[in-house]
Parts: sequence; C-alpha cells; structure tokens
Amino acid sequence: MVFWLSLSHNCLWQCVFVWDDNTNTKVIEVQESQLVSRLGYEPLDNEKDQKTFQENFSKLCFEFGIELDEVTSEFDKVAREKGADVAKKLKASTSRLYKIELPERQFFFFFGLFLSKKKKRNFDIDIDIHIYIYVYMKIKKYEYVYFVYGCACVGEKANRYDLLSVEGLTKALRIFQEKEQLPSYQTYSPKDPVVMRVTAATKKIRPYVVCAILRDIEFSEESLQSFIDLQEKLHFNICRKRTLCAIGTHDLDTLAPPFLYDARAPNDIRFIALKEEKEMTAKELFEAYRTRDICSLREYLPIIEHSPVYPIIYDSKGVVLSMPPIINSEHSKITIKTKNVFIESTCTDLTKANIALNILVTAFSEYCKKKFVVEQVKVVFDKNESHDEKNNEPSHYVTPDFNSHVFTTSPSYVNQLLGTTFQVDHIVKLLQRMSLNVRVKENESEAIEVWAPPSRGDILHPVDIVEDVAIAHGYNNLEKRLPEHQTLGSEQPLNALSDKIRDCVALCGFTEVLNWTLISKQESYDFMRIPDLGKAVEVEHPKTHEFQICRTNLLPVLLHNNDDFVFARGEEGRKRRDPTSVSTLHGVLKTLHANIGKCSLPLHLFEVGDIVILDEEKAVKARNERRLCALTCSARQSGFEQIHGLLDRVMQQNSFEFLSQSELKEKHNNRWPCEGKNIYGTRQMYYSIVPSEKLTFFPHRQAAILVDGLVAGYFGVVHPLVLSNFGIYNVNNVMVSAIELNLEPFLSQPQIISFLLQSTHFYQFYDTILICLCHVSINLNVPFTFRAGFLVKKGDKRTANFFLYK
Amino acid sequence: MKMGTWNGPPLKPYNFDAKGINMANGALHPLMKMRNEMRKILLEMGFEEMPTNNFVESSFWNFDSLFQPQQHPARDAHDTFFLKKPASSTIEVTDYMNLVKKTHSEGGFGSIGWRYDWKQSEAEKPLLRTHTTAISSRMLYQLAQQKQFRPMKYFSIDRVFRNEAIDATHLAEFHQVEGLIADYGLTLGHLIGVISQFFQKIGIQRVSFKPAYNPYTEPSMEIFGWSEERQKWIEVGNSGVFRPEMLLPMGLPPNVQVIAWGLGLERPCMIATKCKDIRELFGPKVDINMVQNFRFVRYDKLKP
Repeated sequence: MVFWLSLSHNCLWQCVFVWDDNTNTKVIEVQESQLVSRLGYEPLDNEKDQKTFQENFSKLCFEFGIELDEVTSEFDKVAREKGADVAKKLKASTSRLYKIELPERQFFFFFGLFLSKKKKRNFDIDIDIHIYIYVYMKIKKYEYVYFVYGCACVGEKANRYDLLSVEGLTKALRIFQEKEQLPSYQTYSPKDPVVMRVTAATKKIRPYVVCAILRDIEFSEESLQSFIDLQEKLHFNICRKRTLCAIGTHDLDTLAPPFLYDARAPNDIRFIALKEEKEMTAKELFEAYRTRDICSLREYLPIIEHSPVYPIIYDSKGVVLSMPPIINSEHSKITIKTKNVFIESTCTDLTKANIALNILVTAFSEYCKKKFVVEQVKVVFDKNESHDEKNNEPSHYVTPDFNSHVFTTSPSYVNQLLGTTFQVDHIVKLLQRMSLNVRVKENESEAIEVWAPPSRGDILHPVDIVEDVAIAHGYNNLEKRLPEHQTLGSEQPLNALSDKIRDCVALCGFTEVLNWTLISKQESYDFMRIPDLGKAVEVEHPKTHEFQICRTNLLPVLLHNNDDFVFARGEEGRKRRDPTSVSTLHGVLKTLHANIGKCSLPLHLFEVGDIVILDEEKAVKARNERRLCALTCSARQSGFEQIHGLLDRVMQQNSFEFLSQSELKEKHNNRWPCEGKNIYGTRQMYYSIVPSEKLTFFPHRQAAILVDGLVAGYFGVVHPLVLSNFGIYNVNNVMVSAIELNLEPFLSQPQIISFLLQSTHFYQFYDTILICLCHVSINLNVPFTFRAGFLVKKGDKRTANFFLYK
Repeated sequence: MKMGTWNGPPLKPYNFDAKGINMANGALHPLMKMRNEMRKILLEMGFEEMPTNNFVESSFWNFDSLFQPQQHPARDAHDTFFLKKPASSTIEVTDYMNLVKKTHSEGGFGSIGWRYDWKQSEAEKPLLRTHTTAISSRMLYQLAQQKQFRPMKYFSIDRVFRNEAIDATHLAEFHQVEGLIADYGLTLGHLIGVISQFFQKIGIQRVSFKPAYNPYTEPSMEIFGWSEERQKWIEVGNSGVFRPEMLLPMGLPPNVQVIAWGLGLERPCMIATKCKDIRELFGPKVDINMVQNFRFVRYDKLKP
C-alpha cells in the first residue's frame, strides 16, 4: 500500500507501508497436549475426547473474554501455504495446535509519527499490530530517508500481557476455573545484591535499565522456547518493537557481576554476537546485518544507528552481555542447561520496562526451585552534571518491584452496578478467580481492598474491578431485567418527514438507491460542470483518494452567475445560495452508470439523503441538509414532464399550492406574501417554478423550484456533457431528467417569508455579480419587522449596506 | 362489446404457467427497509429518536466527552476523518469542558484520570463523526442540564465515518444502530435484558455475551447471536455501561446509570440479501434489480 502526502513548501512525503501480517502478536499457539496437561485434564485418547475438550475449551475462552481462533497443525499450515505434498515431504507435525486470540481493540492507526519530533508522551497505550514506515522526503534537491518506526495498532486496556505466554494463559485459566490459587509472587533481596552500574553516557541513548534474576530454574525444551517466545511477544507489544525497552536474558553462571551499563562509540565495541562466529566491532556487525539477505534484526538497527554511542552491557571482567536493543552476546546465551538467569531490560520508558520485566519473571518464576520468588538487582546510576537535585530521577533503585496500587471498593457498589446480591465472601472469591489479590478491610466488612498482582497492569479504576466480578460470575449468568420506568417513543420530525417523502416518491414508481456522502472533487465539480467555490467540507488524508469532500449543495450551482430570481431569506438565503454544487445527483448518476446496461429502460431512481455544507454559525462550522434527488432515464424521450409531475406530486402531498410566475411577481410587487390559510389552518404555503440557466442542465429545459419564494431546488434535462462525464453515453439516445430538492422547507412552516425585489436593471447597469437581496421577515406571533439588505459587488470592491426598519 | 364479439367462438385457453407482465414498480432500498423495521421496533420499545443530522462533529463530543484520552489511537488520522475544512470548531459549553479537562488531566469522580496535559485545541478539531455515540453524549449532557432528571431511552440509526480503504467488507461510511437508556439504578442485568428483548424482536432468539473492551464503557460486552443457519455464534453488536468518568462531569445524578448498545445495519442486511460485497449494497455500484426484488423485511414473522 503506497500513498502520497503532499505538504506545503514543495516537500513531498512518500510513505511506504509494509504490513506485516505474520506478526499477529495477539495470537498465541499452544500444542494440544501441553494445553490439556496444563489445564489439568486427563490426556485425550480418542477423537471424542478431543472434540469434547475443544468444545469445553472454546466455551471457557468465551467466558473469559478470549477467543479460540482455530485448531490447526503444523501440517495444515504448511499444506495451506505450499501444498499437501510439500507438507508430507517435510514431515510436518500433525499434532494439534490451538490458536488463541487475546482481547484486542478494533482500531488501528499510526501514532504521532509524521512531523512530530517532540518527545512522545508516555501514554498507557500499547501496541497490537506493527507497521513499518519509511518516509522519503525530497526538499530542494536533497533527499532524506527516514525510518519512522514500526508503529502500531493499539489495545489500550487490552493489555493482558500476562496472557501472552502459555504459562500465563493457562495459569489465568486454571485460577479462573478454581483449579489453582493465585500464587503469591515475592521478591527476594539478598544482603549483597547483584549490582548494575549505569554510566552517565547512557543518558544520550537509552537512559534506564531494570534487572532481575531467576535462581535455580529448570528449563525444558518447551519452556525454554516459550521463554524466548514471550520475550519476542513483549518486544512486539509493550516494548513497541524494542523502541521503548528491550529485554536481554543471560546465563548468570557464565558471567561475573557486578555489571556495567555503558554507552560507547561503535568502533570501541567488540564482541561475538549471538549466532555469529567471529568477533566484530559494532560497526562491522551493523554492516553485516545490513547486507545480509535475510536478517530479522535489520528493522531494529535504526533505533540506535544515528547515535554516536551505542548502549552496551559488560560484566566485571569486561565480557559483553549484550548490545541492546539489537543483540545479545554468544557468550552468555541461555541454554536448556542454564540454572540461573540474569534478565536486563534497557529502556527509554521506565514504566513499560517494569511491566514487561514483571510479566516475564512472574510467568517463569514457576520453574524456579523456590517457586514464584524472584531475586532483586540493585541498579546504581553514576552522578553527572545533568543529574542534579532538580530532576527527580533516582540515583538508585531495586528491581523487580512487585508493589502495586490498592483500590478500595465495596459490595454495595458491585451489586449496584451488576444488579446482584453478592455477599462479601462471594465477591472475594470471584475476584480471586480473576487473578486479583483481595483483602477485606479489617473492622469494616463493607470495604474490599483489591490490588493486581505484578503480572497484571490493567486495573485503573474500581469500575474495572466490578467488570472482573461480572466476568468471573459469567455475563450470561446474570439475571435479565427490564427497566421499570415507562418512556415514550418518538421520531425525529425530519426523519418522519423524509420517510413520508420516500414513500411518496417510491409510490410514483421510483427505485431507491443509497450513495456515499464522500466524493471526489472532480465528480462533484468538473463532472457536474460546476465551479468549485470552496464551500464543501474537505477531509484530510483519506485512504481512498476519491473521498475528498462531503457532497455539498443542491444540484448545480445555486448561484454562481446572474441568478435573476433571488427570493432569498436574507442571511440564511444568501448562505443557501452560496455553496456550490452537487449533491445527491452525482451519486444517483453513478448508480445509473453502473446499472444502465443491466436494467430495462426507463429507469426511475431516487435518493433521500444528507449533504454537508459549511456554516459559520454552527459550533462545528458545518451542517447537514436533507435532500431529495430523483431522475428518470429513458430512451428517445427526455422524461422532463415526468420529473415535473413528480415535483407537483411531492408538493401536493406536502400541501404546497402552485403559484404561477405572474402571480408570484404580483405578490412580491405588492410586497406582501399570500395570506390565505390552507387546510391545516396555517399560513398558505406555495411553490413556483422559474426558468434557470445552469450548466448541468440542458438550456431551456430546466427550472428552479421556489418554495415560499426561496430557491429550494432545480430540475431539468441533464446536459449530455454531464452524462458523458459520468460514462453514460448517448448510445440509445438515452436522456436523463433529474430533480434535486431541499426537504427542510417542508419541515416546519416557515417563520419568515421573503419576496423578490425587482432588480434586473440593477445588475445590467452595474455589472454586479452578487445581487441585492431583500426580504420581509414575519414572525407570526410577534409584531412584524421589516429588514432589507443590499450586497453589491463592484469589481474587487465589495460594499454592503443593510437597512433595518421596525 | 357493441359488436357482440364476446359471444363468438371461445377464447384460446390462457397459459397460467407463464408469468404475468412485470409491473412497473417503485421500491425502497433494502438497507432502508431494514432501518425502518428497526426504527419501528425501537419506537415500540419506548425509545426517542436522537437528532443525528450532523455528520461533522468536534473531537470534544466525539472523543473527549466520552473520556477517551487525547492520545488515544482512535484519535489518529489513520482511522478518523479529520477535516481540512472547516479547520476548527467551537466548544459551546465552557463549564462542562473545564470539568472534562479536569477529569482527563487530574482525575475526579472517583477516578485517577488519564493524567496528561489536556489541550483544548485538540478537542476543537472537527471530524466526521466516528460513531453516533457523539450524539448520545450531547443528548446526555442536555438531559443532565434539566432541573429534574427524567428517565430516558434514546436511539438513532444513522451514518458514521471511518477512514478505511474500501473493499468487499469495509466502507468508509456505514449505518450504526444505537440504543441507550438513562435511568436510576440500572444494572448490567438490565442491559442484558433489554438487548435480549431487542434482538428477539429482530429475529435473533438466543444471545450470549462475551467480555470485551470499549474505551468508554465498563463493564463492556460483545453481543453474540446464535445463527440457526450457520449453527454457530456470530458477533452481532457491542454494548456496555457508560463509565462514571463520562457521566458525572455532565452533571447526571450519581445513582443514574446509562446502558447502551450498538450494531451495524449493513451486516444483517448483507446476510438477508445474501450479498457478498458490501459495495453492491451501499454505494453507486448497487444492483437496481436486487433493490427491486428484495423482499419484505418481516421481523414479525419471526416472533415465537
């Protein structure tokens, strides 16, 4: 997917999006056998058992708010991609794999990337999908290439990162099923803790590091793989592709603490990187990664390559542990035999690094000899000039830190929100099933204190706790109720009216179509032969580039040149005339184009929909207007009379009386609108039809529709050039007549009535474009006021005079 | 008649196996027919329609008033149509805006807030509304301004906009059906009850609820309906109880809860019309023959 963004002063940005579908990091895959044993089921012997297990598991997932995506196998996967033969040849495993999808948000976006060089705020927003963006920029001959960063989609609270590993997921499910208690995770700080010294130089690149040690751990092949997988998943998610933090794990027994976290020039760094054979400097290593055909690390290089110094971690003997966030050293790599694991996580975002570290160590502390106990590491910062008293940065801290925020809630609050009658004990039990620590406050049985274990960082508010109670109880087990209070249903008058008009037009034999609000400028203006007066709502950065503006005004140009009838309602009338152009007609024409060969003629189509126009008076600076658009398409005849008939029908159904042109003139010359009453006992409403000269329509076969003296729409035979613009060629002498009408004048009886001031000589004489407008406004209940306005444009000079009479 | 020919030799027998002449007929669009039925059901259930005829909305009503932080990814141009024109909007409710600002930046009403520097300029950015919940928010604010709180049920069915590349299953604009109830002492049980009732009326007899995540509701539930045809649960909508951080700054009484649910109109319609490509249902590529031949939408038939 490629798109262009053009910005001011001639710089062009080209963004290339590479969507990496394979790294759907919210899906985890588990072997069936592993899942079965971890969830504490008997091994499955036959197909029936398997089926039952799959059904039960799927149900469990649903209740818990995750989804069993599919059950597949390596064999199936290979077979799908490369064919069954290849799969057979490769002897891919046929053991069943469960793909489980974690909760995620539906939205995805880019994240503050393009121009913002400002430091990104540390927001509690986490990433789901990753997009790599390269920006090529050309400014005055110079080309710049920027890697903006693999940024991503988001799950803001969908951050149950504790579920990203088989260990974490099955533990949460076991606790949910009450097969296990929430373990009490503890930290252990030896008298003489391992120390990580951080030099001041690291401030320039990645200022923080957090560490932990897992002692006497026993890996199996599965768990080691899972350990590495979880690191990768965390890198993708919370660490935002290693930009915020990067985790390195090491065999502690090969190293000699204390450790040193430093930042040094690339040429001064020499070590054997993981999976490399010979020693290289950082510069050589980068070059090697860059030139290799396949290198998964390449995407991380830009995180530090611009920097004069690269982060590096040494032990006391000068052995390199890792060069974060790129690669660990071969020397300290962990193997299945590793007993003691040293974990370091260098970062720019301390909060995120702590969460990631906690998730990793809590998930794997179950393999330690002392289960769920993690050894702490002391991190000490060197003093430097910038590190003075003013900034609150700590000079040292101990990690991991398992303390978390305590929320207080009460059974009454929970019951009030859920409509339940749970007792304290029951709520406590339910919360425990959701892997939360709960304590009933002493002496105060109505208060429950809840705090999340270090593996969960998604509780922000007591409401979140209530939700967990509901999940543990099961949404589907809640008692169904209905609101007691009686309310009255009612329709929006505008919708009720437009439904009636839709029925009326459909009963005349027209077929309804439905078109998009968003259209391109070309269709809206050029195709309709209308000038762009810039009155449309324009969107920014549309993904589909034909979507540039919201469809605007009535058919062709209500105004732009010499309208010799302006029965405008002062300000409002002027505005209504202002905006350019098209509307629903172009959409109906497009529909016609798509159907013209498929349906028998004549075709009668219509649409009732909203258009959007700019309106300074509204808070949002724009408003909708409800429009009716209808057309007939027939061979060898124009259909003009039919459209005229439709107009009369709609008017008749709305109790509008017809007023001929001469009557209209007379009425306005007498400066008094008709006073008669219609059948509803209200003021008589009338409409008139006067010839118009719009380029969209054929000359002399078009007219403007005036409702109460105001232009409310146009109808006419659509100009052949417009038809051919829309690809409707005159093959069978096809002719199209159309109408577009604003429905809002029908909505309420107008409070203001306006009339025409004879002004033809006015522009003939002065060659003005804008016209004089004059109106009488009458509020039926209030003594009437008279206002008149002249707006004259003369060359470039615009003068306006307003008179107010009372 | 005058000539008496009717009395002559008998007519050739009529072929009743052939069809009659096609009637020249008008027709309403399937999507609108479905909308009409849903509207009718909601009106029957005592819901009042909200005025949704404003596609342009300010970020304030679309996001901020819903307690969606300004750095929330939903607010990025990648998903939302921000506008070149108009370039800015005004927020007409200063006092309320300040309360929203405070709730976002410092917390309050029992919440610790998002704790960031809330910017008015960000809230003033106009956009094409991404959900009709923007209108719900306006309506709830108006409701809160009344002297005496009155239980209300609101609904709307109208267009919403997402900046999507269009394909067979995605459009940049689609119709959202939304219902919400504001009343004293509403619970999650009420939400489940009302949703079940509504879906029963549109022919989905069995519904089931799955924990989910929505930025402005807590608890949140995804609604699944049982499809007899496909013998599986399919997602039919989203729902939840509005967060206190959203309702309390508006001035609604603390014991008033607002429950809401929403669903798209296009999807059930695609199933009903057996349409595989959404562009053939909504937009200029619609097939007129399909529109003309689409049958009655009869939810009444489905009543148990």
